[in-house]
Amino acid sequence: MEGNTVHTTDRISMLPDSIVHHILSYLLDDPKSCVRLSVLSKEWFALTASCPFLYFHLNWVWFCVIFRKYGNAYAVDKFYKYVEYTVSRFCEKNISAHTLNIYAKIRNLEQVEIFGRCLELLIERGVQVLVIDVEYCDKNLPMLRLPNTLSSASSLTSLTLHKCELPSSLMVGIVKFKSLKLLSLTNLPIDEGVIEYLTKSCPVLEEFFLKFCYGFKTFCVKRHHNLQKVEIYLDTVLERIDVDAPNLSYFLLENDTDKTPSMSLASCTNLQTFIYDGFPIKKFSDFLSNFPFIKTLSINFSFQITNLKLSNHFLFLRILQLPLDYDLEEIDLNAPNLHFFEYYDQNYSPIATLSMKDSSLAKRCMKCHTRKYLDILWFERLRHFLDKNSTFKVLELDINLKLIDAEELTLLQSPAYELEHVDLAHTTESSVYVALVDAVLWCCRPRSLSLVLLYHFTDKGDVVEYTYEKLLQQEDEGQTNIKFSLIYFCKDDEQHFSDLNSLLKALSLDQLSCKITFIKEEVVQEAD
Amino acid sequence: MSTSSSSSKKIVLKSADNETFEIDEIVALESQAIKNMIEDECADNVIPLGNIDSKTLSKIIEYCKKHAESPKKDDNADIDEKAVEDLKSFDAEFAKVDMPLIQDILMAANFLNIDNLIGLMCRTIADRIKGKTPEEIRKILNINKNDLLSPEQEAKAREENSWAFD
Repeated sequence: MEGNTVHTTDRISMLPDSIVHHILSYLLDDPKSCVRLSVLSKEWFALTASCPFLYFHLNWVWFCVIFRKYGNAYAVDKFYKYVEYTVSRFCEKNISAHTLNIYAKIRNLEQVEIFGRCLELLIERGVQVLVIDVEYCDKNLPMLRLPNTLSSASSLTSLTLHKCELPSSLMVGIVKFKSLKLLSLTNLPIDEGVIEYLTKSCPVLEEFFLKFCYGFKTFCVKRHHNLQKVEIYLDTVLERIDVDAPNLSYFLLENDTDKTPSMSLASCTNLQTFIYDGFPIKKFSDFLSNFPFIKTLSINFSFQITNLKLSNHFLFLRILQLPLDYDLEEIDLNAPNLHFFEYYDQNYSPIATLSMKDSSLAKRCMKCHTRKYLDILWFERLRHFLDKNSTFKVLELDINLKLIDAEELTLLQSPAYELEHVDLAHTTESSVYVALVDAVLWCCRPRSLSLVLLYHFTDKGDVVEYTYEKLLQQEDEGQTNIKFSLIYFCKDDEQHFSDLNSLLKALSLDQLSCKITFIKEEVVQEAD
Repeated sequence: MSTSSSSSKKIVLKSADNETFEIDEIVALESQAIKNMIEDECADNVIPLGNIDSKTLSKIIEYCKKHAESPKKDDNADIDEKAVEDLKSFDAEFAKVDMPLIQDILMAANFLNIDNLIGLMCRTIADRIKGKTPEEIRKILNINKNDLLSPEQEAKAREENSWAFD
């Protein structure tokens, strides 16, 4: 191609502004590059000034990259000058911004005022996404406050505030956030009544996050048809939560106080996800019966309590996470679609893991992990539970066991619950392992079984041999073979064995933590 | 997107240098512009693309093929982590071309309205500009001497944030 004739012009700046701004949007965290681009040419000078993404983060880039050789105070000074320069250049264009995103630790009143002025200028011109995340070096500094003009910011679609106050005139004027879909308020004061007023003023609001705010006693949302997701994190006592949103599908409450607010969500009959972490809720089972379509239920209690019962019909429930406070005998669910049941120690906080794409979901799995020492009775309850809730195909156990008298278990003669797979991890010592294998295989009859054996177990071979025999005992004689796979955690490859002796030989060579899977295989019958 | 009956339907694209490319309709639908044409039934069997040369067009088809084949993100289905990773590494390889071709692809992707590809090319350009001096960036972007700011303007702009030019 004759490059000289075709490529002697800057073709990028000839593209629509939105494309160039798209390029700039990848450089927002790199103020140095943004400034350099502004001096390239007349075109780029204008294009950088009109970039509708305004991003001011006073972070390590300023302190450790750009001004590494200077003191922090110097970097801070340059940062605020850059903010004012960029905002004033943008405002000359008389266009509205898409995003204003501020993150800074404010040191003095002057800096509060600089941000205040920028907010006023930009909000006046219209902004769609506003994110203000500030901290203060000095407790006596006044909180940055949004200007009263915010009340008429009709283009705003997303508002996220951290330690930045709502406008003082909020409750006085007529507020109409007619486009606002996401509202997230963290660590800021909110007057009583403001939540009700705000949600009423945001007719298309879909998501509302309220984290560690204070100054109010009730969270009240009057009839709202678009609200879908609510998250509330409390570290001060809230008396009442009252939400009337028939399309609410997700509700999370993390309650770090020692009181449970009275909750009224009765009209939210379409709720699909309910997550609660905190002080136990009274008559919880009754409360949950308001939500017949629930798909995900995740509970964690901050205080240990007993005599809990969960007795509900959840036809659509797919994911259930419960603390061990619920005795297996007291969980009476009619949940034919349950795909994943996680059962864990109190304070384990399952919320973090919930969003993970868990492959366990696909295989109808019950997963139990606890540091408590379980006894023989627990295994009887587990067996009963599995029989009653015959939806599970896989069992994953990471448990500890009080040394038990295995003979006690054999008294029951009904067939063990059939499973596709059992995953067993046990971290204390190998002497308990044999008893644990006994107890588990008393509960169920899996097609395959995985054992995690840690490096310090001295008699791995014995455990493997015992498990092998136990698994074979569950099947009719001569009908089943067992093959093996072996994975060392520190290596990538998986080894396969078709007989016990070669597995035992391989095991004796390495004293490393490993996972061994026993897989039952039908013996191929020769036709008569 | 229906894949059952239309999967075998073919679309022919014609480049500026009159080369024709026959592709599955499902691949062509990655372009919002072509999708609109097909939906409005104003697409003939052959769609002429008078401003895209064959080299650029074949690159774009390569991209659309890969993205049409890979499973779409869906709320219901579990997203296959592997497929996502695979697509990521494809994109990274795809972007390893010279700057003139990146610009050609970006312009064509803009014309054909292929969102993901616009994003990929914009990010690629941003990555290549990052950390460079204005002089180096001018070379990368082919900025003409006639388009420069006046010396006074440029000096003033540099002075405002002189730290960015150390």
